[in-house]
Amino acid sequence: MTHVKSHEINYTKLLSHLVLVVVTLMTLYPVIWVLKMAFTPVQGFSTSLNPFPANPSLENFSYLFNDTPFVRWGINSLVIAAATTLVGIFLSCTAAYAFSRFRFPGRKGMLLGFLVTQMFPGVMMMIPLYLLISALGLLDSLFGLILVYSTTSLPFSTWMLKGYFDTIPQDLEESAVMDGATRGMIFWKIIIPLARPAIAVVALFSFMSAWNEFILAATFMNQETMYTLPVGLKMMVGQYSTEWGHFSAASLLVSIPIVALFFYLQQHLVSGLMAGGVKG
Amino acid sequence: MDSQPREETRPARPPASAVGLSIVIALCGGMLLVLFGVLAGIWARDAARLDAMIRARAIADAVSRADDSTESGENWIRDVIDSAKTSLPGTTEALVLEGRTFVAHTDHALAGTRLDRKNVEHKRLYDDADELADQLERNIDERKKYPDLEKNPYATAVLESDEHEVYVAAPIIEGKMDVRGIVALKVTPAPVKGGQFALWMSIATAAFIVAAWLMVRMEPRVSQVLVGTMFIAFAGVLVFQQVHEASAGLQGVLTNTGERSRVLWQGAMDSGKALAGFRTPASTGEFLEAINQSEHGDPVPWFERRGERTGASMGGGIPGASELRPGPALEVDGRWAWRGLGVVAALMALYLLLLVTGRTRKIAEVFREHWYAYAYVAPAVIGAVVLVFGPFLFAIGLAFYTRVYNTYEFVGLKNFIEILSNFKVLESRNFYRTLGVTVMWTVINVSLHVSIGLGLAMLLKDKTLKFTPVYRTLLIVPWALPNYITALIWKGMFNKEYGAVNEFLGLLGIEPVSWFTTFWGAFTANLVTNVWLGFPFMMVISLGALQSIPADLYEAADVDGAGRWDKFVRITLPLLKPALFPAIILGIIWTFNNFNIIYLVSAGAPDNKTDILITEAYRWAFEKYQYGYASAYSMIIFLILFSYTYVTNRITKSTEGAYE
Repeated sequence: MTHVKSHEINYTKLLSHLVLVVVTLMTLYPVIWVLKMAFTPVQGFSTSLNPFPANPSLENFSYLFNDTPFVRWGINSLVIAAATTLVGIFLSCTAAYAFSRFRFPGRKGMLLGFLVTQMFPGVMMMIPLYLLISALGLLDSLFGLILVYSTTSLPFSTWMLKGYFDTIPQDLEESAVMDGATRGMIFWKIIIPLARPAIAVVALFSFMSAWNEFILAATFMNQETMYTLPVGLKMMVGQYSTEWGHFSAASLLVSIPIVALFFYLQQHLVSGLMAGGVKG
Repeated sequence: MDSQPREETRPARPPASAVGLSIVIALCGGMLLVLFGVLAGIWARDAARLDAMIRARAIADAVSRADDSTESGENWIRDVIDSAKTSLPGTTEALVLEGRTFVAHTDHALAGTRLDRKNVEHKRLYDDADELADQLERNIDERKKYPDLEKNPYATAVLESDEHEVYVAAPIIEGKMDVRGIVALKVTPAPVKGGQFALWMSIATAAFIVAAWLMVRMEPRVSQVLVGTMFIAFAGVLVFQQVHEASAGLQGVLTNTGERSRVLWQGAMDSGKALAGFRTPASTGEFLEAINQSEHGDPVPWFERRGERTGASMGGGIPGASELRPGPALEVDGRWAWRGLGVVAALMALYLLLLVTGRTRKIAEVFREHWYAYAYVAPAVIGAVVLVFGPFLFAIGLAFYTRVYNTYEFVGLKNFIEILSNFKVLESRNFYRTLGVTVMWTVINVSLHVSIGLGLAMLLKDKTLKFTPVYRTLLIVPWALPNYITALIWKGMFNKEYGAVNEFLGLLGIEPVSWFTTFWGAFTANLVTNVWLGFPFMMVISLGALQSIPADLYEAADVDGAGRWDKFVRITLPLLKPALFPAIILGIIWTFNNFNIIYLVSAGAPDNKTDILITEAYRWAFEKYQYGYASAYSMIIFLILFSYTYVTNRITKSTEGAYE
């Protein structure tokens, strides 16, 4: 530390940097590890601490696309997440609008009911849902998971959107009523466009939770071709064979879009979680 | 439900009594329609599967008794298969695989060939056979390992089924365990008689609504009592009659198949080409009963051999009675008709209650005034009721039952007592032990999340420090990654032979640690993973809160000569509280229920010792198939969390004003 001046402030700053750099490195180490293994055409877990691949190659990626149902899993996940988002948004927007704008008997009860569902432990729901889905013959079907995902995220989305709708001033609607607008027109032409940012956040949130969900998918999907990405990835590092290279390559492909989305959304996510979370 | 006031045709508002009655009738009719539709669908599907399984089992059993040491025995197998297609109508394809890969001599297109996985035409069949045989062997293994596992080792598999075709396979078992071959059948389900319920119910509903409007001029109470009672009575008769008819129809299909299968089986036995010495089942009823009995693993009397057969005693009945996947028990008997009647009676009681209290009028008024609001919330509420509240109530009910094979038995509070009265806290699956692990897991995790997150936030808050946005962005990465990926990566990092953690410890001169063989090792692995995963959230929350603390507070404190610690305790912490406290409450719930990390990193190793409550409940449900016990277990978890939330809400009052 030759260049340290005797100034006390600089000394603490250096210390801060030191701590931050160490923590950041520790944080990023597993990520770097995955990057390295993804580009290393060996299936064992790399044992050297050197974070750069020795013979970088794209073999793992080509294996994924050519010799595993990775693309199929991706399509499954995409279809499920997209449909979940669409259904969830439609249901929660209409409900949130009614909760926000109308006062009707049963309103408080329903709101409270939605809140209570947040406390139901997932495993407890899983047993009856499994029996229900299997009774309806929807195991191993995308539709079954879409149904379950879109309703489980419903209470959270509804609460969040209701909170946002509450902040939209009612004057606009009142003047629209003066101009002869129907309720449907108000909803579609005024509320929905104004609430676009909140809807985007809720949409991306439900997309992400459906995209990342593991255990329900693992319980409901038994055929390899019906797996979603999380289940498929888990199988790659199963008990018997551990294909770290393939797993890492797949992890990268799966994570990059979702991490990008996350950073894009981050600010909203925190406030949304806190808003929903504090109440739930 | 068109109850919107029609101003142009009807200057006065329509009479409330008629509107109310129409709503009640429409609701009741719709409810019964949906209920019956769902039930009928389930019965028909299960019956179709059971029907196909009876055939497959009968054939598989007959074939397994064939004396195939002679050529005539071989031909005889072929005869059995061929006659199966004629004597069991609906069987569109039947074939026998010997030793998984050889297609026996039938009229199947691939007869006489050995299946080759690389051949595109064979692949499907090959995979199916392979999957079934694997499942069987796995079932047998698991059965040995866990005697309390409720899975029949000799499973019959439904490989695929839809309303047009059921594709089943049953193993041909030699000795007790060996899968000698496979019988695969494709069956077109027989159409089930009866079930014009939808038509009649719709007509009745419409008719009674019309009647309600025609009687508007009468005294409201009289018209309501008259029309309503008649409707409910009519619905009751209809439900009873239709359910009875449907269940008789389904039973008829099964009995018919059972009878034909028995004749086929008996014919095969009598042909003289089977190994001698099987007692005849006296009736079709006995035949079907035997199938149900073999589900319990009991020896089936009429299959017991009187003669000798070297090396291949069957031990018990037609092999396999349960599907590979546990499903609801099939009950197509008269009891359903009574249950249907029960539903109708409940509706009746509800209706009378509404009537007596004068609520129908009120309902009509409320609905007329707010129909648009209900229309807006209806889709979401119906979805939540069907897929969230319904299942939740079902789970609560299930907690009072225990599962015996495919039926459920009411046991009252037995599950709860069993869970809570076991005080052997040193055993790995004990509830109190698991609760202790869970609490420890939650407390350590959340304290580390908060202290690391807050510490980093304190460093990052310094605006004069360079590169803070870079640090901040990089430090959030763990939060952004899907957590199952994180968990799997860390599982690898903690591997004894090739994990980076041991590699790193090696650099420090520490011997490699076998992380997942001791409780503390596995617990640490879980903990490190979850701390890595969870601190960014607390960091972001703290940072946001820290930045909102006005700087002049600190300046004033500087003027007063306060030290760093004083400033932290007296200014920072109190001002952080409103933001941090809810985050901690939330963090506690998340960590308490953090299924993925435990399940994916340590998987409970060693010996379920690192399981937390939620993973333990999952194991009871989906590894031991003890749905009732698991429901009771998760209900206890729910009660713990519920009281926790209630208490914290009481303290923080953070939900205040949330409804307005």
